[in-house]
Amino acid sequence: MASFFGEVVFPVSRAFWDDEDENKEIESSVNQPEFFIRWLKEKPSSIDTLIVIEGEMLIDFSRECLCSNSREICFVEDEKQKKIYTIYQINDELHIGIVSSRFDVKLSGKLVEKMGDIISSAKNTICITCRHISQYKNKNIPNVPSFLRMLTTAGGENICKLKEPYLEQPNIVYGVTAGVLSYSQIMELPSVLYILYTDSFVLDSLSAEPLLKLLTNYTLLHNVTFSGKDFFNKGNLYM
Amino acid sequence: MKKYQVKMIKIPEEINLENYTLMLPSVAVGNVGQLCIDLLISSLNLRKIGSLWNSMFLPICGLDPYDKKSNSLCTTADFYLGTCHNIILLQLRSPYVGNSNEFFDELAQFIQQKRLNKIIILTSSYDYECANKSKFKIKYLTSDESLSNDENLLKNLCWISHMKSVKTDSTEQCYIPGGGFANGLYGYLKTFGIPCTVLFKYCSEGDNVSDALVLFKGLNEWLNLINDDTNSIKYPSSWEYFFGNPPSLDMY
Repeated sequence: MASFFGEVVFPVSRAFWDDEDENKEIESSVNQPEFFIRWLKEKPSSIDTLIVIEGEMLIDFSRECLCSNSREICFVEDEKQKKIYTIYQINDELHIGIVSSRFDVKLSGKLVEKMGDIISSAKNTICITCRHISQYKNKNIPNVPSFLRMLTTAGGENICKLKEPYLEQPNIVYGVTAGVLSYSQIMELPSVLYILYTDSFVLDSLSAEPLLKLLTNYTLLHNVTFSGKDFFNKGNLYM
Repeated sequence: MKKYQVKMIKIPEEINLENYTLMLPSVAVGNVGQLCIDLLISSLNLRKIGSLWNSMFLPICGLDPYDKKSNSLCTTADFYLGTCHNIILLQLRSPYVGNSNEFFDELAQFIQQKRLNKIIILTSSYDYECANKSKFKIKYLTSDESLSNDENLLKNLCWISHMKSVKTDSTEQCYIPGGGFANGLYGYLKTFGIPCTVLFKYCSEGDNVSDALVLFKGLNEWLNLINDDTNSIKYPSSWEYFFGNPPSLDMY
């Protein structure tokens, strides 16, 4: 796409996320991105619990507090060899997959399709994503710094260890975690998606509370310490 | 090396769809086709019967947009069934990126397997592309002979045949600017001999509910799905916050 310095260039329509004209199918087929899976150890035949984490605000927190002592066992990279999704093995039961903040959300369907094999091999899939509270559509917005909502597949309610209110209509979630949940639904796999709504753009001690409560249920917090972590320094401070 | 591909249409129940009409929107300017499908599902109280997965669509999920009390999941592409009118609707809820050929192929296979009778694509086009006074009327493009040969019906419907043609690589096709994949799917189904009709309306982006109503009424005049009465049209509950939350009471 041409770059117009200093010029406001509006998208042609809210309906199109691609700048390409809808009639140029032949050209766009050439530009289809490819993703590649790389296993750093033998691919497990089955995974007990897979937690998929998406959202810039959650990435630093997850890497620092959940995966710091864990082995990276698999990643998905693009054609430029940039890691877009990384899986860490926390213990025999638990694997955590983190979607890179550099990942282009419009390619979520492609990434989920690439992850299809891994999702299918997981007995329980838990997805966690985050949104700003301003995107939450409801007459009654909870007067708290952050709160959780959830969505489950048909069999997902049985695997969620923490029951939260369902995400009310007409709120929707898009992206990789939404794709994992949709894929699980169509494949009839048990899966839950938690959405953390926060009133800030960085995770601070207050907005992290519901998330910590959620993760405690998956026995992840034994290794977590919060003091001196960078992601908390981003919040609650003006200087 | 075999390319890893997932192509899925999943309808768990065994339903005989022979001679059914498939209606689907093309994700297009103003989302008019999608709004119109929403109106059809809501007004006719249609039942969800399955879903479609294709990686070209941005994945989305939420709860059932037509029933506030339901905890069932809605996804990017869901199928709805209307046995009274022999219709099956595919609602698409997100934009698409990249090549749509796989989606077209999957849909054509489904149509042939299930022996569907005809396909109706609902879409819209940029209003600045409208050169004459047909802005408020419905335009159509059809390969369905039962429609194109019925002069009386077409006269009563007051639709305008879409004639705007562009030449690409010596094949002539009727292009609908801003109409999403409608044009491509129409051409694709035509090569398989599947009768297909595209209905569209010119619009500009904003509140496009009125455009969807015009398209809905035009379609209804053809298929007689509900009584021609505005009270019979039911807006889905998911339209409640189209323009954001109500103003905060703290403001006053």
